Amino acid sequence: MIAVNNIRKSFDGTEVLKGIDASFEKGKTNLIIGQSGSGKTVFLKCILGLHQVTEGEIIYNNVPFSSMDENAQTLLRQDMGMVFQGSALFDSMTVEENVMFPMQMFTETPQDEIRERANIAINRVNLVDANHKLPAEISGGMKKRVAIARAIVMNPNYLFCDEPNSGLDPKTAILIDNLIQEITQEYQITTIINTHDMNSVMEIGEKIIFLREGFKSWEGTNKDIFRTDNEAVTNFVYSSELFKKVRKVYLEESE
Amino acid sequence: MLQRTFGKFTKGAVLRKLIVREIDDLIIGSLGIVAFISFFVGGVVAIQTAINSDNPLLPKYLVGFATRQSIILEFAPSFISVIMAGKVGSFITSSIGTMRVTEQIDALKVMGVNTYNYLIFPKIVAMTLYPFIIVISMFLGIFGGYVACITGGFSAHADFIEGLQLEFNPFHVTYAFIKTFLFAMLLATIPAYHGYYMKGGALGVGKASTTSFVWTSVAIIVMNSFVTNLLLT
Repeated sequence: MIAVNNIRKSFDGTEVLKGIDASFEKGKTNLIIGQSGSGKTVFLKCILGLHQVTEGEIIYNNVPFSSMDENAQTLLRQDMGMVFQGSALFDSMTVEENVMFPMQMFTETPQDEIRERANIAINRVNLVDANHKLPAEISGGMKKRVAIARAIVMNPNYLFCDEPNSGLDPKTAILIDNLIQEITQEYQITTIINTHDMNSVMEIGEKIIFLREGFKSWEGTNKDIFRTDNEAVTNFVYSSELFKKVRKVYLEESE
Repeated sequence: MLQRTFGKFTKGAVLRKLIVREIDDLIIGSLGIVAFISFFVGGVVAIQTAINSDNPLLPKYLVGFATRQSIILEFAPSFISVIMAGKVGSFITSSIGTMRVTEQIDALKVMGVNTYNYLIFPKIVAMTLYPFIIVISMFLGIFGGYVACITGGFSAHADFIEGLQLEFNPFHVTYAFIKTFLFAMLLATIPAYHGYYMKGGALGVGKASTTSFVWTSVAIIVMNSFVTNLLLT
């Protein structure tokens, strides 16, 4: 479990995060949503420790991140998997080498075993015949799968995804969403996803946090989001006619 | 940055692979251009010396002597290093800068990798082999001068060889290698700094590469002046 207590983050005097409290539970897909510029990516990077918070505390399993020494932080990082918006695969390595990389770096496992575990992760994300291809030779959807495989190969307890659906067609986006949710439940991972894909919100949002101008404006589940009267959330989530109709139908059916 | 580069070390097996790759990219990959430039510039230096010293009172071995001195003292260590600031320096800046833009450095950080050590240390180790390039440059520069003189009829074989051997001071070679080693460290670290701390997207990578070339060249020229004053005067 991850808890975030009153975190603030400023860049050159401009406050981007203005005191956010949140908790993210194990085995659930936790979504952070909000408009572009609302502070989602900064929030995620603060949780990851890529940005140092100006104020507040990030707590991993009851231990504040800031109180951990360098070794403890390194060990914690080996327990994290991250799927970046652009996948962030290493250009010079093949798909298989990318997935093997974390294990090669941090374990003394024999090479054959590393390869075997990498292939289990690659199969888990349904990648076929791509092991020896370079990232430049595969599609965006495949890159995301490789990034997920690399993120789960060390059996992490925490999985972070920054807009995992961006740039993907709707079908592939749903597949990626389902894959992340399945993995979260299967391995009982604490998963935090940064997204503004409304399909993801409706489909896998077991816990949703809505950020607005650096504040947490709303919190709930994908069921609650249909009933909320928070104007900022409804303006954001139901901005298209299609989603307005979806909401209407959902509310009529549930009455 | 340097303190962190020599901080927590990357696993030996991984580091070895990275060092071999960097040697291939930075050292082996530079041999062709260095050989080509050295041979022809050596030839031009010899021809220029010959046609600008046609006074019959000047000794005939002067062409060989001047070629040797200019190649060993300045051309090979300094001129080639400025060229390498463009070739190797831009490569280092753009490769690290692209990793920054595409979030590969963040990916390494999230995994708990000391990114300074992982990205910069192998480049520094690879560049310790840089004097090897300069030895080749010295040899080919002088050989180019010899070939140009003989084929162009600017000097006789015996005169050129006499000039090469005349008043040879081994400390000049030591001096050349001391500054070569210092230039190698500048070539590895300044571009790495500009790549690591670059800002912006693809345009930022281009700007960082240009800035890195300018500052590395300036640092090489200033270091050259400082070391020459210190060791030869």
